[in-house]
Amino acid sequence: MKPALQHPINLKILGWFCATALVIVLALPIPGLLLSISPVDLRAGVNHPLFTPALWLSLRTTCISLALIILCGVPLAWWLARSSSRLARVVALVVDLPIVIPPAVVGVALLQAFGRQGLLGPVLSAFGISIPFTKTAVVLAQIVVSAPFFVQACANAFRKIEPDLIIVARTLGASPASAFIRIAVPIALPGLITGASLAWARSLGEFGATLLFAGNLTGTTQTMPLAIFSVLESDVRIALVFSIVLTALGAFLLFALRLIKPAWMLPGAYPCTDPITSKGELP
Amino acid sequence: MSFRFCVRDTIGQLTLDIDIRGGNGPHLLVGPNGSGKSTLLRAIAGVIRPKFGKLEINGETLFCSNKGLDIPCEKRHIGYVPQGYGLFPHLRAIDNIAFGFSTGATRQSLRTRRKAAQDILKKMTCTTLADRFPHQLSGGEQQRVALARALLKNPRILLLDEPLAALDAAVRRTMRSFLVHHLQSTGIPTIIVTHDVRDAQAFDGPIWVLEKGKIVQLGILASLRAAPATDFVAEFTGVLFDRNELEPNGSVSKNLSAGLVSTPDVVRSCQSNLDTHRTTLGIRKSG
Repeated sequence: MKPALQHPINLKILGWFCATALVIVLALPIPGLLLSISPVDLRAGVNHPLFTPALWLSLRTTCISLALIILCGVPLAWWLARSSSRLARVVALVVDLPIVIPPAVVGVALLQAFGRQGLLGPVLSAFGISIPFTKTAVVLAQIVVSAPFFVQACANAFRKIEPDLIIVARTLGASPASAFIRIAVPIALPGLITGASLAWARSLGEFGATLLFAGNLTGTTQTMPLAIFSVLESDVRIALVFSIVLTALGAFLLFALRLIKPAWMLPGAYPCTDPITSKGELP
Repeated sequence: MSFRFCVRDTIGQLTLDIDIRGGNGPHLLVGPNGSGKSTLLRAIAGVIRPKFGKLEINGETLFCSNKGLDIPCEKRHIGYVPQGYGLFPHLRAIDNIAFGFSTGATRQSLRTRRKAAQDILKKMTCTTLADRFPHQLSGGEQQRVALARALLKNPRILLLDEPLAALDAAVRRTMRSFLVHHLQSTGIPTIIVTHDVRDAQAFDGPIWVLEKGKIVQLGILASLRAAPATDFVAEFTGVLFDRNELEPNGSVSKNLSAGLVSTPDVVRSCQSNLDTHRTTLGIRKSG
């Protein structure tokens, strides 16, 4: 007899096995990192001359790039979510492109676009602007590799908003901009936060494009990933400390951002005590 | 109060060619799916801008394609309650209702607008809903909040898109009488989209029947029932129980619904009137 249920059970076991294997592969590097250094190494790593400038540069550039991505990405995502034109579909494809292009290729492409011999090189030179191997290049590389994650998440969040909500807001007196800011943005906020955390994490870990387009100049363009690359040749333990700090920073901010949930999304959203006098959380 | 709206445009795959006018009280808009009912409401609200058309409310022109006049949606003072009510999920009921006074030219302080929202909730005897988020409200409660929100700013005209469709039978009955009572007490011109003949009975207003973007019949329920212009009207008013295709020789290709009529006799009595190959048989309930 061929039991009919045997196959699903076998498939279930196989599924569990594959899923567990993937979780182990994803999680194992973290304890691997943590167990490989001692407190003495940690102190030595933190006191290393490359540590503070690289960490500071990483934090500064990723914050600037994230701010610019949000500023430009939110309206772009709104348009992509609302428009069904052919142009919007083409733009969506262009926005997603850096996700599938290797970062090193993005770096070379950025050089060809903004370098002295690049497309915009002569125009920029005419204004006395040189982008490659500067902090601007670091930020630009981070924007190009991480903006698609934000725009994609943001557009998906906007697409889920019922158009009727915006229409109702308009009929109640809100201008298109006001309806967008007061209705669309707060409703899409969880998606925006997810997108921002993804983009920020991607910027923080950016290596290939930055190395090729901005170089690896200590204090100027050497971000944490590039500092790890530099110290790896001389002292593996220091590189491990840098890696742990970067991991901790990324993990902390990622979890913190993901934990932020507006009150209205919580299952037992608490009522304000006095609806008349309470200042509430009106936008 | 009076209003008139005419529109002629092709929106998507639908060609709208409509000229409607009305006054105080409820007006019902019925029609099959895809006939353009919601599109018509959105055009009146000002979200869709038709190529040709004119909207006048109380003598004031809000839209006129010939003159290039188009008062934006937010300045038309039109109340709109969409299907599913369109409550803002991130705002409590009271702030949903007060939203109209939180933006634009009629902006008021938080305290004043919440007081106004409380007052209208009190009128609707549902002050307990004030602190709740929309997901904490039942369908009927969401309906009341949405209606309160639309009425707070005293709109010139109220548009209700299938206000009772999402409710179960018992709540629908309660909400229907609630809506009838409130719309009668305000007297505000209202256009109600519905698929339910019981709404037409309850609201007791003129009915526009919209099919494929055109008004195919206009009148009160009794006149529609007396002389339905199309199959849809006959079906909506309950005149048409079943549809039959009669062959030229008068024989029935399908049987009528079991038990409703004695088919052979009825069909034979209709035979003399047959001048086409296909005839729709309508049977009106007597009494």
